[in-house]
Amino acid sequence: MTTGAQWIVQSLKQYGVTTVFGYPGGQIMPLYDALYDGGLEHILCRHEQGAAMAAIGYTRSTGKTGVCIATSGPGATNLLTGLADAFIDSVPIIAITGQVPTTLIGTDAFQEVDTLGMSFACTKHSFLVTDPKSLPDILEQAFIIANSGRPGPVLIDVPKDIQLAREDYQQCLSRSTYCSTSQNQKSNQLTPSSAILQTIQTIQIAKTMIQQAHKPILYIGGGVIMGDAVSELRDFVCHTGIPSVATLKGLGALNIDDPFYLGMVGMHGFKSANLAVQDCDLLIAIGVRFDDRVTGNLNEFARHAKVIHIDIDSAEIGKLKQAHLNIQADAKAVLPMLEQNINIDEWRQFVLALKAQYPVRYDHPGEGIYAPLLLKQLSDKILANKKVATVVTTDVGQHQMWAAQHMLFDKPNMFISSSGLGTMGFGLPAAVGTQVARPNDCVICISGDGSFMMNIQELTTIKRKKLPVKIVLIDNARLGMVRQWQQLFFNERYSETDLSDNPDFLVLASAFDIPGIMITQKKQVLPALEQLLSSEGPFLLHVKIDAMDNVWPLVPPGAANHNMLESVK
Amino acid sequence: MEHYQLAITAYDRPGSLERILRVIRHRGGKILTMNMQTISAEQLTLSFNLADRNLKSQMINQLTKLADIVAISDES
Repeated sequence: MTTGAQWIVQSLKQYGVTTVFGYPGGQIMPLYDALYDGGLEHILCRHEQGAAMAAIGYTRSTGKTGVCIATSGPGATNLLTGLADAFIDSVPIIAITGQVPTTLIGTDAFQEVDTLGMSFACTKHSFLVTDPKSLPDILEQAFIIANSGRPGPVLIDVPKDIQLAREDYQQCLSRSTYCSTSQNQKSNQLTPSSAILQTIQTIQIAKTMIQQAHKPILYIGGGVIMGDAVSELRDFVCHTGIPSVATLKGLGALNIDDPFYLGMVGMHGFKSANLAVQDCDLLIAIGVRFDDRVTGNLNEFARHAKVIHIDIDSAEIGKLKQAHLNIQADAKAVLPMLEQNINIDEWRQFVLALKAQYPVRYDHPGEGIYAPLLLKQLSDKILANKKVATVVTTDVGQHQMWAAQHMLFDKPNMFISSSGLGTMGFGLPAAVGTQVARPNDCVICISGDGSFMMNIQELTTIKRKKLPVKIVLIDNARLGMVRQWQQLFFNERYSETDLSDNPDFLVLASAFDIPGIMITQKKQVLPALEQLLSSEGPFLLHVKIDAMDNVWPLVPPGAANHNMLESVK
Repeated sequence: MEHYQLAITAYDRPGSLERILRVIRHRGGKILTMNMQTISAEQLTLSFNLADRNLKSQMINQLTKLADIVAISDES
């Protein structure tokens, strides 16, 4: 006989969990008591949002299921942003929340909130445990749901009395059918018009479309990485020679040495990438959502192209863009079936010419630091170091887009960024989770002065666990991306985007035993990067840049992707 | 705007009904009529009459993803 809390700890270990992230509180105390000597590593983050985002970093850098734990009420509400982030970016994490005892649910008890009700919009699924006997099945189902099909976060809300209930939980495992109905079984009950036929015939049609295309483009998203289909994708590209573009979440999926890889597409994508997509006659979309930040004006996106859409999630098929051929399937299985030799030499030469016509330029006037160049230099150093694997996490804003544009990621899960939700405050806790998961690798958090302040308490976690996280803080003393939009689209009315009263970040870091330096001049960059990368422990590189530096190109909202702004008019 | 009808069988668990209704609301659905009935200790059935037939395929796809759903069919 064990308590529910002890069973949770045992089950987590059984499902391969070694590390959990969390923050204790009243209604989760039985679980924390079980964690005390339960054999799991617990990382105390200093805010539940940090715990959720650390779990995301842990998952995205390893492929293992991350786990975060919080108490009821405010603990649970603080998790929600992290869960929403995981939901839109399809990250399988398990959140376990304490809840008031079942007898008090609905009485507005101290620290009671309807966690289950709040979770509906930001989880793939969620459970409220109302009977201790259901706990084993629920835990098992949570891991299955989080990792099956399109992955996503699952929340389990566990009242305190359930955590304390003594049962022979092993006997309670019923292999229940709860939630076990497969998507295919469900799909078979749909009308033929909405069911997606997965047949050899469909693959053959796709092969014919690829064979007949003169100007095909691969449009690659994070689904390829989440679906572990990177090697299949790279083999496919090798066989076919089809030029490719990536979304923000797809960075790292494609071979950066491929001359026909055009880099990121979309609002801040490269001009050559956007122009090639606009000109293609076949768009092969794999593991993508046709997100508005990628497509710009959807009606104008790849407007001359036939579209093949491959996705594991049938709900993504036809959600925004009506494809000519839909393949609801695992890209890992489909890509090898599509391999063939095709003759598109003229198109490939055109793509090379586009890249040559619109090179990335790093000449920047003045002595001040130009963030794109700094990030390119950092990227060059990372790629040159074959001894140590590096993972980059980012926060959200201009620095994020500069990192995506000017750093090269040659492996999947090397670039961890809040893509769909755009969550400021993501970078530091994600770096914590990544460093915990990969203690021998170099983890670099690239942040901005606005984002850094949003989860700055996680510096304590870095201090406590002696995590050697490297932080590059790009500081323009502004809420930069919003300021840029105010400049371009709101008549330079800079409402609440001046952050020039930021604290002294070096003094702040030193309070957490994190050494650092500040640089303001171009000539300081290379030695500073050396110092950052060679430091044994954590390090803060505080980079001051011009407040008015902008991210270019930029496709204005509602515009087509070939109408990019490249400077302030 | 032509309406359409969906019949759903779902697990009767905490939150199942709310989750289904939330998806319909969030994905732009407008419920004209609705009927819910438990059919066992484990399951419930729902029938919906929904506005805007253009949303039907997307609505079915989004609902089908829910872990609560056992079966869904277009009764139009």
